[in-house]
Amino acid sequence: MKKLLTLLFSVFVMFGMYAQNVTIDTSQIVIPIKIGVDGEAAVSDTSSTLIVSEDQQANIAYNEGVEFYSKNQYEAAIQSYTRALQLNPDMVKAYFGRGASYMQLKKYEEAIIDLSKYITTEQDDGNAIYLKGYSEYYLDKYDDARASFNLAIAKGHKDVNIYYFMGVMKFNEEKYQEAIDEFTKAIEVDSKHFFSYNDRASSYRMLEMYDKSIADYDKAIEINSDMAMIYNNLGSVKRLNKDYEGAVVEYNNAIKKDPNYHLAINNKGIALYEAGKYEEAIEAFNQALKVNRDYAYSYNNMGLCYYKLKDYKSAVDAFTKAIDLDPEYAYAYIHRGSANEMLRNMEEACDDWEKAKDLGLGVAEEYCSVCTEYKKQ
Amino acid sequence: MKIKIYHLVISLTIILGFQMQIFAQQPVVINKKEFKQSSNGYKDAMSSIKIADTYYIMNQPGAYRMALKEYLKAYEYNQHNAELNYKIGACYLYSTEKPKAIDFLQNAYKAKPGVALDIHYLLGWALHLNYEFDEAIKYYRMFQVEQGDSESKKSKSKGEVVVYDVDKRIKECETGKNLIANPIRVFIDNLGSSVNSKYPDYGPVITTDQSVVVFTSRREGSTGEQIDPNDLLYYEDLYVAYFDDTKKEWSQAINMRSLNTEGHDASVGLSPDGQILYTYKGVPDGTIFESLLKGDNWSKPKELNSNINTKLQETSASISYDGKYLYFISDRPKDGQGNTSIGGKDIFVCEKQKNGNWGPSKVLGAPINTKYDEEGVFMHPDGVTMYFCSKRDGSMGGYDIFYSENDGAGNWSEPINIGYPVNTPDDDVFFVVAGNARYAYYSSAREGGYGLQDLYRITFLGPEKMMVMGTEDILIASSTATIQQKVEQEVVEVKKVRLTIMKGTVTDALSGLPVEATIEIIDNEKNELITTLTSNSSTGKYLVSLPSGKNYGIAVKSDGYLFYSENINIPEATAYQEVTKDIVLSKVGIGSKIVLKNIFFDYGKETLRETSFPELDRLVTLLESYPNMTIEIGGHTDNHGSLKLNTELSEARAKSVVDYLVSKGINVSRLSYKGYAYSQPIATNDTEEGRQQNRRVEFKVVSIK
Repeated sequence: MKKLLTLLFSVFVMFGMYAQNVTIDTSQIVIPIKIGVDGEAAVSDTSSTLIVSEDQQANIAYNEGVEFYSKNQYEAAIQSYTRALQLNPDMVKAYFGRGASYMQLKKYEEAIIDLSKYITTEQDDGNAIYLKGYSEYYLDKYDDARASFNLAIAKGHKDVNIYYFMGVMKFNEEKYQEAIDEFTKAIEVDSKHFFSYNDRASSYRMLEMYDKSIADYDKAIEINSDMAMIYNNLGSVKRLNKDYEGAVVEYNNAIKKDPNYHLAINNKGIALYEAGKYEEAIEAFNQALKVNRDYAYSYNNMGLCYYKLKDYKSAVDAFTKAIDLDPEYAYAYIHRGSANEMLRNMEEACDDWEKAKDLGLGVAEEYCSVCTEYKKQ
Repeated sequence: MKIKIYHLVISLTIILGFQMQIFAQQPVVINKKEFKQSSNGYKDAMSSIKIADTYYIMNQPGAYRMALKEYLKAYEYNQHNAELNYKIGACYLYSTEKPKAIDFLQNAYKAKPGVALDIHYLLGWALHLNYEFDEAIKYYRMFQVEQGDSESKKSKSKGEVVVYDVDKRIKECETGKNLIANPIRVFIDNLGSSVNSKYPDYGPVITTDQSVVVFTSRREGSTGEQIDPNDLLYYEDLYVAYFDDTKKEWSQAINMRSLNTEGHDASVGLSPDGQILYTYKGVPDGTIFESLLKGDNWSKPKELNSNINTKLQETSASISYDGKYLYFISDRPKDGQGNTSIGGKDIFVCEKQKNGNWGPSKVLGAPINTKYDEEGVFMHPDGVTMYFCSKRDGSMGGYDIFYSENDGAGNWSEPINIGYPVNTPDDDVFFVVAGNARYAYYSSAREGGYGLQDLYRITFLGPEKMMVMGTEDILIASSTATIQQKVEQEVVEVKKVRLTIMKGTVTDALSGLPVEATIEIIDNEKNELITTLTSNSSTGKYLVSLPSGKNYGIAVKSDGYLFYSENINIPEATAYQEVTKDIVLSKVGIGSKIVLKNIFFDYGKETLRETSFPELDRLVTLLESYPNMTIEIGGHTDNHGSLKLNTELSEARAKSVVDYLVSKGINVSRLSYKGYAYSQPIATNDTEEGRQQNRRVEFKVVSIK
């Protein structure tokens, strides 16, 4: 029973992470917790009358915790588990329950403490070790996470997600080849693990191995054709591979799956820009801004289209909007400076380049070298 | 308008810009029978043709203009005659409206494919000039096939030998395609109506700070008011305009009357400080003259010596920033050292001799000179970069502007075409670059000007600035974190000018009036005089070009004044800068002082460094020229450290200077020294800059008998 609980729980963690726009069927995840409510276990432990009553109180508190957990009331669940532990400090499964609740609340530090206590007693619970590892992963304690994951594997818990997260860590550490190796192991455990396909594809992309990347994204889509994200990623790889037409097709697929996916709409604009279709690109960026009016990138990109169309005035306006949304957007300053240069507003151009330099863009210093003569005026 | 013909007087425009002369005059005759459509107007048309034909065979730009006028009259009568269309097209090719040639040549070709032997060539060239490179190549190839010789074809026509270098033309078209596909980023701005006229204005030369432009104009009001029969334009005159720093515009151009003659007077070179002007005169035989600015007046142009001027054509000159070298153009077959020049007009250089005269000429070798013509040489005051024009391979048509850099050991880098749109398929000849290399000046007949050729300023914007798209993807499926595409920042090699322009005025300390002073630029490390300049007597203005990588000592001297000493150390990596330094000279008198800025000691010690010797030697010279002068050398420090130590150090240093002077033969009785420590600061001790100024050696006149 417990096994089922944690397994489904871990799936929840994963789905809970990946995108805001995917609704999670919480009921599905809560149900196993209900199954985990097992008064029997607690009752069966009663051996002395006095203790029995305390144990029963502890059991009641524990079951309350499970009940709250099942209703997604994690704060209340934590209180119940805490009470259970006060009544019976030896009830280690309450540590597990409380740790799980903390994970739900993304309080990973607390979760690690509780899971550690649980593991001290239940040393062979690979699942718990894995969950602790996951919490450590989430806190960017990659070395700890790797140690936990390896221990979980040693305890026989060869969960696909363990290999998957090992891959993700390598990816985040920019060790893309090692990431690919881990994702490959994950796929060996579960050939339908489309996350691993997606992420392996992304690793290939980072290594500029675009053909392999495209093949893996295709595979991920074959397994799960509902995720706008994967289509978007496929589009981006095709774009990087200079297949702008193909990229636009994939971005359109992504947008079809999720019409509000502004990243894909913005990226479609970039593909059009790179294909030299500046007017169409502007249309796409406007669309992205309809979906997310605060998306500074689309204003910046639109500005670059106007720049290419030699409409420097409109370019300046677009860059200004990008900067209004993100006053630290160094590239937008560079670009606005360049458009101002073309409009012969050298003082403004120099102010912008100066600002970009202050924001840490070294190249701006080179641009500023012409500025002394304009400052004098 | 009276027309007076000068013997052998050829304007620079004709010398430089008359590409068509390579063609033969094709004996194309308009057949009367073919031409006649009706008797109405026929007679007038034929008489126009007759007049036009007499001009046409003169093979001169002005004559073509006259011919065109008449042919166009005949064209009113019959628009379909092949020969007439051909001739109108040919005339347009000589004019400033070259693209108009295409339609006429095409009409001629359609009406009669064999209208003239060179119809394909002319069509090719008209299209070439109009940037229609692929079409042009097509016609050039047809011409080649017809001529049956791919290299060149010599054809005799009226005794002239004409060379058709068709392969070269085709190469030019190929180059043109490449250059146009990768245009350079520039603004090209007309200098405005105060400078330009409806007549040809060309050949701008500038001071390196762009405050003065001298140029050549064929405008009305030229000296003598006479017309050159070769091109039916007024004779060349020199004009000058000044940039108004407050209004940000050029002043009205003024005719430089004192320099202009009734013949051709054209500008070819100006020293970076604007004190030496090189001019071209058609007389006696294509000769370069030099004129010096004394106060407000230019000296009478003086013919440069025979190392530079020969009986052949010398057409362009540029003096190096240090005044040591004169680069010029000549079509002489051998240089002054017996080396054969490479072909056509080439770039030569003369070095200034100890006696101040220009020494024997030396032809620049490969990769600068080619068998094709080189023209319009301009040596940038950074001392490294040479700009010049050439018809070499890598030109997109006629003369193109190229640049090359010297490695300091006399080797020139492979010349690089400066690019489109500065260069065009037509001749691009006069080109000068400001000290900061961000601006250049040239003349062009582009649309939107005030007529014919105008002066333009080019602003180089450099390579395209970076453009970074904002993009993100969610690459990790289990994460909402977006991953941004990493930006590869392309490092574009930008040509950096490593030059300091120091300018200002030299004035008298008491009266504030301008002083004509000699400015010596010394390389302190090498103890070598780099150059000597003079401030202008009526304005006191001076300008010196100091390429990076040297510790410069600057000594400003004038009779009756104590010299002024400045030190400016410019490390190798220093980018372009303009420094304004107004210099005040004190008359020699009791109590007058000089801060000796070029005296260097070892850190914390009184040991003189060798770099101090040029300055100390100037002091010796001064003491020698005033034998009765007694002086005090004063040592000064900043306020770091104890008074005792500083007093000791400053006194020891002052004594070192005195010891040096004595070693050079100055009587010790004339010299005293004192350590003032930090009792007489001349700047704040709160900043490093101020402290540096306070650490100094002063020279003070105690008595003069």
